[in-house]
Amino acid sequence: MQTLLALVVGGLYATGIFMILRRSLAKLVIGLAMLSHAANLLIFTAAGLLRGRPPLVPEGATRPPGPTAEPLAQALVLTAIVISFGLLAFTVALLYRAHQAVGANDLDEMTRTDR
Amino acid sequence: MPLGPLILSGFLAALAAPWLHRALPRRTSAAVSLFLLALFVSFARRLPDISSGTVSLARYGELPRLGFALDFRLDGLALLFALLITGIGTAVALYAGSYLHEHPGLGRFYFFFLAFMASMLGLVLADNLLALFLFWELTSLASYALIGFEHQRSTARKAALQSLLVTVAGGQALLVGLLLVGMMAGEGGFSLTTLDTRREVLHAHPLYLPALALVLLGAFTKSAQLPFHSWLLGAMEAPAPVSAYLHSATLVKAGVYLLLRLFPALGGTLAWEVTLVCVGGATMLWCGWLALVQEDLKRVLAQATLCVLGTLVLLVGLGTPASLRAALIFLVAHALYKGGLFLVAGNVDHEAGTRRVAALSGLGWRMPLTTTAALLAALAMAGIAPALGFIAKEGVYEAGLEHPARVTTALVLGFIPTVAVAGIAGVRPFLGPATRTPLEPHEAPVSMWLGPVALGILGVVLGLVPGALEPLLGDAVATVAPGVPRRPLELELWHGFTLALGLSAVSLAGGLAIYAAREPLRRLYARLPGARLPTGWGFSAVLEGLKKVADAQTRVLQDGYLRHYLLITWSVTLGLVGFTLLTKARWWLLPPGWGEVHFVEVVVATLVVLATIAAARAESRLAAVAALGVVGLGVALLFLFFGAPDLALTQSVVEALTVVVFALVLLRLPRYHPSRPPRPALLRDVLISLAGGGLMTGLVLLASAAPPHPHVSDYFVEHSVEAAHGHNIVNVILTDFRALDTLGETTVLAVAAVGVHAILKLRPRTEEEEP
Repeated sequence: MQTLLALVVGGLYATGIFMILRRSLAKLVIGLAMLSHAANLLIFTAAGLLRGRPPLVPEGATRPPGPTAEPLAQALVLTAIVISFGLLAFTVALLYRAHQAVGANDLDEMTRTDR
Repeated sequence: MPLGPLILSGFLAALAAPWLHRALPRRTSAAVSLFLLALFVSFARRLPDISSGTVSLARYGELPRLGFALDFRLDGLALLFALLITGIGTAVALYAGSYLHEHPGLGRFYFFFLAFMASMLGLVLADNLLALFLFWELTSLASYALIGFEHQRSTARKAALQSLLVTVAGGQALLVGLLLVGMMAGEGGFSLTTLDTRREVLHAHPLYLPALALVLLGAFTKSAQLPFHSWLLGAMEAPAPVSAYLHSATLVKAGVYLLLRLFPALGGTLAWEVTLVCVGGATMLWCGWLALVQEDLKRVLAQATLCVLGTLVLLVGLGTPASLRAALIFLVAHALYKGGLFLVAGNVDHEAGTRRVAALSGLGWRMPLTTTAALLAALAMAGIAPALGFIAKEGVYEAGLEHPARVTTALVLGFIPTVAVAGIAGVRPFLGPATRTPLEPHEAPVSMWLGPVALGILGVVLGLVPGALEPLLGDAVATVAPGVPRRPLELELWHGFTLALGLSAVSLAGGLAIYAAREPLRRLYARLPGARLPTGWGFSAVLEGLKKVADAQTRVLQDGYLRHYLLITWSVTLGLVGFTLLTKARWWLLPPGWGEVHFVEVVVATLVVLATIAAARAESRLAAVAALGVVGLGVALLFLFFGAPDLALTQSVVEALTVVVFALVLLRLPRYHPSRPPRPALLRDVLISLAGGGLMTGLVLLASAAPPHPHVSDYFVEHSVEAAHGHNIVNVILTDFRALDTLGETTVLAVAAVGVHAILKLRPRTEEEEP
């Protein structure tokens, strides 16, 4: 299953990179969203997979009865999900505003600020 | 007083001086001067200790892992410099109060002046390479502020910037050099005391040459050796007291000090000797002779200072006991007469209103005391008995005579223009027929002639009673040449009819002849090609070239196209990471096959991939957003399958919110671009994307196949209930074990929210809205 998920991660990355290389503003945002999914899944998969064993301690016990899924990676990904949502919201707002200011949907027409 | 408080008191005085100046504008210069005199006396009283071989050491805090320690050590060499710094500082402080008495920035002057003084003391007293470097840079900064003291003038700003860039660039080289030296010397190698005992280790080290080159670069820029000399000429933009103090007596000697200080550890090799003798000799000859064609009194003196600095570097390069001794005597004599002459030049400028050499003549009877100081200094500069300068020059010649004849020839040729400059700057403006000057010249106030006269008299008295210098110089020589048995320096005016005396006569006669022929020489020079190049043209050319390169590079790298930036970033990442993966990764460790695969999981995984492709290929934004939602929920399901219910929950909620945000904003953006990119560009993007995806797949596989090892999360699993009373380990990590990280995350979200609000709601006020 590791191999399959690794391929999914690769697919998400490839599509995400391809999308952020487009000229359209909207595609840039969609590409970013794909990249954040890809990164989350990457951390999750790389930490090792274990089916149906969430890192929970049963009531009354002091530690899980057996091996569990990696809790640290889950904590990291949880943070990453929330942060990437913040990033996405900010990017969308920024692009919307940039579009209003420049009047273009084309990234190639937004080159003047850098030159 | 111990050494640390002595230096600290200088910095504290620097902070206090502007306040004092505001409260008591007329008394500050006397107070600063007395303060420096007190420091001078405090150092002078240590002379007996030093002579009896006691070295005071003091440590004020250290950072052992960096090799840094705020160690100070007072030995003969440090004491010699400390006395010069505080002694000449006393005269200059007294002088500056009158010279700048109407200047609104006088308080600022005192601050930088005292800060410089304290940094210079720190520099010569430091016993740690890194502490030394720290003070070294502080002197560069203070020099920058003092050269640009009259910052209203663009020439002053430019000169200040040039001195800063040159000396700080040299300082960077020096830092790397000192780090290398400290590491090469091994345990405790950053301490100068230890360094002196590691001579053999350093000389045999394969990195000796690079380290030496870097250290020398620092010393040469500071002491204005060719080809870095032009900043010192520009530094003449500074007020006269600054030129006298920093740019003749102390700061520019810091490079020479460093060479002397490191001589026991690094010196005495062929590379050392050849480099120092060649660079010093070239500086001495080139700058010495060009002093004759300068027209500004201060620039004449600065050019002559360059000549002396070259001579000192050459002498340290020769590295024999005689030459080191000669260097130290010459250094003292030069500090006395050149400090005096610069102050005299300030008096002339102040009272006569011009510094043009050609316009000055016959000031003698109208400024008798200044003239006295000038003549005394000129006597020393020309190396005429009974001034100390004579003894110094004899010492230089005697040191040269131990070496092949070409060294002595160079030294004589380097001294001849100095004699002529003594005439041009120290004699000519005061004798002869009186000329009209912009101001009607009259004697300067007592505070302005006292210092130069005292320095001049000291120069002659020390020449008559050179034995007074014997203990001080003897101790300094003993520091620089530790292995050499200590013997009397035999500082005497009359050595009998020696070869050195004959050379003195030759150089004096030559100097007088050059002085007489200076006008034809000047005209001859003016006809040479390149004579009209402005000072520092090389520096300006380098700076302009640097700007052009930066401009061109920015134009290429920052062309304004987002995808070019991304392409560069991804290509570099792919290249570096891919290369490492291909060469270093142990692919054979990967488990073969697919492992245990469940049907539902395959369906969801396939769904995610298909939805991703659909989102990318969608013709409308709405379709893309919908497909993206499928991707997000698919990922949430994958999280759920592999034991992460929290992630699945969060992912679903965020996914829903994302769709809302997209629907609100993304759909207001214009429709997709109908045009298709050209085929090669599309191919390039596809290739980069596929390579990127492949790289990431490889990374995941390698990371998850890594052999298991004790993991930080084991601790969390073990202690979740016991320590934090939580049964959901992920939650415990987020809210307890790593609570600060979560706080950071919350902050990021808050900032993003504020940012979104600011972007959407705040608008620049348009013209109609303005009242």
